[in-house]
Amino acid sequence: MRSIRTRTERALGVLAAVVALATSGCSKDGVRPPIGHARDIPPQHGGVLHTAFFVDVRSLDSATAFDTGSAAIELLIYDTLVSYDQKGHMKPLLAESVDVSPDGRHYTFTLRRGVVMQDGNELQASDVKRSLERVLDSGTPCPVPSFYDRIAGYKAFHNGKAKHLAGVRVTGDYTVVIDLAEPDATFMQKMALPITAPVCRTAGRKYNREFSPCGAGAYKLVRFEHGQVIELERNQGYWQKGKPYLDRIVWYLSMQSYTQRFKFEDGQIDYMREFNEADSMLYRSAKSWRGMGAWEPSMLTAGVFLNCQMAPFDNLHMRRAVTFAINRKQIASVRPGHVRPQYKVVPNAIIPESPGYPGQRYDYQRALEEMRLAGYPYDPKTGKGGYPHTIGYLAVLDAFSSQSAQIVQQQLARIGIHIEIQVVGYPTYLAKAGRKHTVQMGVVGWNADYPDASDFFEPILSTSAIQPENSQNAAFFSNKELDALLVKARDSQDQAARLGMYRHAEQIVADQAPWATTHSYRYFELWQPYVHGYRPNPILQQDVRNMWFDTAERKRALADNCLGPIRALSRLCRRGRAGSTIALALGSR
Amino acid sequence: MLDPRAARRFKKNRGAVVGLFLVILLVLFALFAPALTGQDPNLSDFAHGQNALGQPAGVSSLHWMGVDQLYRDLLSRLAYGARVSLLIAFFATGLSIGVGALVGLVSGYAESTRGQGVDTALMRFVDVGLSFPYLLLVMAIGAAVGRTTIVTILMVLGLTSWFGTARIIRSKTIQVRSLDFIVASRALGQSTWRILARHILPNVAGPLIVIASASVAQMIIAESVLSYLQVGLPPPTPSWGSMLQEGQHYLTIAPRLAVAPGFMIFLSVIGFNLVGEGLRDALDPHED
Repeated sequence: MRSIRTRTERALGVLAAVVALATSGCSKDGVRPPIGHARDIPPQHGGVLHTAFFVDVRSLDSATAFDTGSAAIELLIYDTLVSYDQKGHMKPLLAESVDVSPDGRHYTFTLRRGVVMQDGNELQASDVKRSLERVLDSGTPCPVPSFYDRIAGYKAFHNGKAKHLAGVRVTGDYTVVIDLAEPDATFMQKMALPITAPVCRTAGRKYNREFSPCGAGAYKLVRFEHGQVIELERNQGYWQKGKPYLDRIVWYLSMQSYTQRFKFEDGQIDYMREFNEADSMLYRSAKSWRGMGAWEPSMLTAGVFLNCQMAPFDNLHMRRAVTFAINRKQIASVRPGHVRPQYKVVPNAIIPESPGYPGQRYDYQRALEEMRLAGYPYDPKTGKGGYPHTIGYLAVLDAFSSQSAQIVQQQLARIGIHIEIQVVGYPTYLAKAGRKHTVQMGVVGWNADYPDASDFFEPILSTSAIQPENSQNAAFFSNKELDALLVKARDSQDQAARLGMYRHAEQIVADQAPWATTHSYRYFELWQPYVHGYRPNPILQQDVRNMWFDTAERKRALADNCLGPIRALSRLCRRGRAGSTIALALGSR
Repeated sequence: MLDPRAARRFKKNRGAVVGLFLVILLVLFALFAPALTGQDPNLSDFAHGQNALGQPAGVSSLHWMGVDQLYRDLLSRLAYGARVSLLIAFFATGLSIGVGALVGLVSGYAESTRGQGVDTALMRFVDVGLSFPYLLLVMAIGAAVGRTTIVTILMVLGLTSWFGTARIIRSKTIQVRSLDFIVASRALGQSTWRILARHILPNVAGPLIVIASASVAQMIIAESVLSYLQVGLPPPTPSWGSMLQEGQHYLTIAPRLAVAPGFMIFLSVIGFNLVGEGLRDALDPHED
């Protein structure tokens, strides 16, 4: 009898211990409080940053890597000639100065002296030329060589007819001049992309898959396991004296957002960006986290493409009906904070919206009127009329793409347009959406390659972006007036005039409706209080180069965190019988 | 369908009665809950869907179980999800049992006769079918079909799950075939199809019923898995699997979004399994 009672007590004790352990770290907020406090101390060296991506990183060779994941890591390995400051303004980085000729066709980069690359060689002008030629060589699978097609001699070099890129001239050990055949107002932004960053001499003159990433950046690559982890260590010979601050950076790959969240709570991840909607809400509303974290400015425009070469969207009024029928605020309400209504093509972070700025607005009556003009009048009272066939709508296998599609489906049903959603994986989506006469409409989105309006029109809405296969212009929209305007805007060196031209371009898109813009998406970033020196950069995503840790505070707070459950148990232990039961359970083996 | 002794045995089995009760409840829920709530399962309620914190609203007089992440009535979606799940499960089971029984009967009857070749060919095909991991096969076909509807899903599920049934029915047919009354029927000149339909099929019906009831549960899980992995029915069709998938992201602020469809899957699977076990025991003459 005694032994049974003892067993029961022990079982109860174990249960109580488990409950105590499980609840010891919880707070009323639904999330654990921050680990430690932000102390006002000067920057310190040391510490290991742990963070994670939801996605994998395909490559870290600056010549080929162009996905969102790789960009943040490339910032650490490769320094570029020019970059952006914390306000989003351009600043020289490896270049000491940049002179642009009045006609905008000649860029003279004077390099800093004493910059040592990660292979131990000093950075010289010839490295800049060699790196650019390596990227633009016809044998390099560079995803965006056309960004640099205005460099003099580009065609001959890219087609293999010339041995060197004539437009890139080395005029001294530390001076390189880039000549453009035609002016390009976006050239400086393009030179801030990691793709143009000088790479070590070990990379050679030609692209080689075996190249181990090596540049003039603050951190060196130590380990890269696809789908697992990227590990970097401090570049001891970094040209900015005293920087970087962290000893190492461990970047986990392909980690689910909820796994990231729980690791973040435990201090196993120090800085986090990819919260799911629920966790983001919890942290933003938690008292203990109030005032912490920041929103990353959105450089993305999402919407619905309407294939102008396929029925029924070869009918302008049908396209306009869709743009008027979409209530963008309703779409945004599904993910408050993260998703915001977007009325125009260029994100507000690049060209801020102002009263009277052209865009697409929700107007139900106008939508019904456009349906009538299209020849498919719809009576909302009886539900009769409308477009008689079901329209296929292509969505991508990610949560919000599918969700926004379902809201658009409800909204279009109110004007007599019935869509059938087909959810597919991303490669299938790209193949189908980019194929001529294949998909009538579908979800579409564009993230800025560089912060200029041209990047939101030329690659996705110009006639030159139309291809029979893999067309970036999924709407297959061709408008001569828009094409001419885009060329003119890219040539112009007058920023005010360019803004006027892009305003006109927005007007054309709003009128011709190849896209119905719907929303933009922004990330909420959060870091533990012992992490210092980081704020989201308006242009560069996840630029952690200046991050530093209050290592003493981290150590103290984490030790405290580990003691939490034990303290909770000891509190329970002091409460009479329960205490003795737990003590018994703990002492039982 | 059950003889009185078997029915009595079934009634005495508490587990089976609970299972039957769950199944009846489920069917009633699928049939009548949508009418009770009066809510369109695919229509977002933007006016009442959000609480003060911007989260999907909880229980209210308008939405008895709250709304989902797109502000649609959760109860209504669960009920329509039940319809979808049961419809697919019943029809896919019917298809699976039909094909499995036919193949099993033909194969078993042909065994060790002049039609041995038919038996060998059918059983090797069954071997191949059984060697594929079932859900993987279903997912591959589901993905290949691309445009998924209720009909394609139930066809895929039904046509990939009959292999086990065929094997069992074949064994049972071989047993029954050698009994005296079958030999007598053959001697009286009855045709093979008539013997199969009139004499052998009724004698293998017991195992078929048991397999069918367990198969319904298996089909519910398979459909949920397909929907969970987003290769099932396209949105916005309510399905417990897709509701679970979407709801898991809200586990920390609105656990009901994942718990409710998960609980429905659990209840329905346990219900059909209990009924299946009860039927197996009831139809087993050794139980007496």
